[in-house]
Amino acid sequence: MRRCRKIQKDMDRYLDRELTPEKVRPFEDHLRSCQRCRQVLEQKREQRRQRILGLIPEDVPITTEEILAAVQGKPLTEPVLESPEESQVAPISHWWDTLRRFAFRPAPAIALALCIIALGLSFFLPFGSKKNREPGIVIEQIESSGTVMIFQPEQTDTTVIWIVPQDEKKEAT
Amino acid sequence: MKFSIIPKHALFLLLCLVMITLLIPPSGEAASVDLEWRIIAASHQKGSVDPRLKDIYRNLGAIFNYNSYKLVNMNRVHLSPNQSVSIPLSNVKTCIIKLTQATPKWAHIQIQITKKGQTIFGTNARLMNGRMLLLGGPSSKGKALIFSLRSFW
Repeated sequence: MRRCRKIQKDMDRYLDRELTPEKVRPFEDHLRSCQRCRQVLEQKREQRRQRILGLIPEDVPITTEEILAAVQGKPLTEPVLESPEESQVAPISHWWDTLRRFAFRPAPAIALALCIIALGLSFFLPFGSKKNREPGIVIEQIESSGTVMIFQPEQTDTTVIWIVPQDEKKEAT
Repeated sequence: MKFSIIPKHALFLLLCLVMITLLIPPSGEAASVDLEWRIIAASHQKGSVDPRLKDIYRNLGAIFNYNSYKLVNMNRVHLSPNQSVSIPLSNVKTCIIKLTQATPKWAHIQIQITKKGQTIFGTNARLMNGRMLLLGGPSSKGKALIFSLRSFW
């Protein structure tokens, strides 16, 4: 937000080619990433073009606030302030800008992504107690001429169906 | 840290895509399943463990108290839903395995053991990827046949 204010303050000097080369590079870098500032600069350019063509009289002041209001599509409700201190561009607050500024920074974006990946993995990896785990095999229906034992030993991911004829004793443990 | 090659928003969108892929549970039908079956002769007599059972011996040892395990037959078949495979267990017994349904999580199978054409055992079970179903017995004179089944996809 502070960066936008500074950039918008330098726009006239940029258009007049009065900015030093050291300032031009960060200025242009910011423009590449900030759509709103690009729009403001474009409006300023257009205003200048119209002024050159004589469509806007020289004595009509065009302030950055007016341009910003035009970009935002809002009518100006407050009078344009004349003093240098007060005429500074008001910060533009837009939820998408805030989100974009936060999310497109690599560090927070990666941190957020890692958190969500960890959360996602927790659904798939067998964390927690073994007792709560879903069995890997489900016997839905069984038919047998003999007695059948089904067991799922805890240490293994195996299910055993053991057929024991009624007249014989089970030998397997 | 500079991300000059990949634009920042492309990186962010890529990360979002990865997250969404991880969070959305898989759905729909799996096309086919690999079923691996083995017929094992287990015995209380002193003997050895067939080296081809090395990968499942830990499970067998944890469940049964037999001393020797010999691999009689094994195979791996690729089944699509409603396809079946017939496995001869002995001269008179046959095991028929049918894949009834395959989802990304479960392989639904139907196992039927027939003796001289008559069904003596049948079950419907569903298996997760890599889990093993052991079907064995009856035990006779300290010996038993164990049929192991695993599904992969």
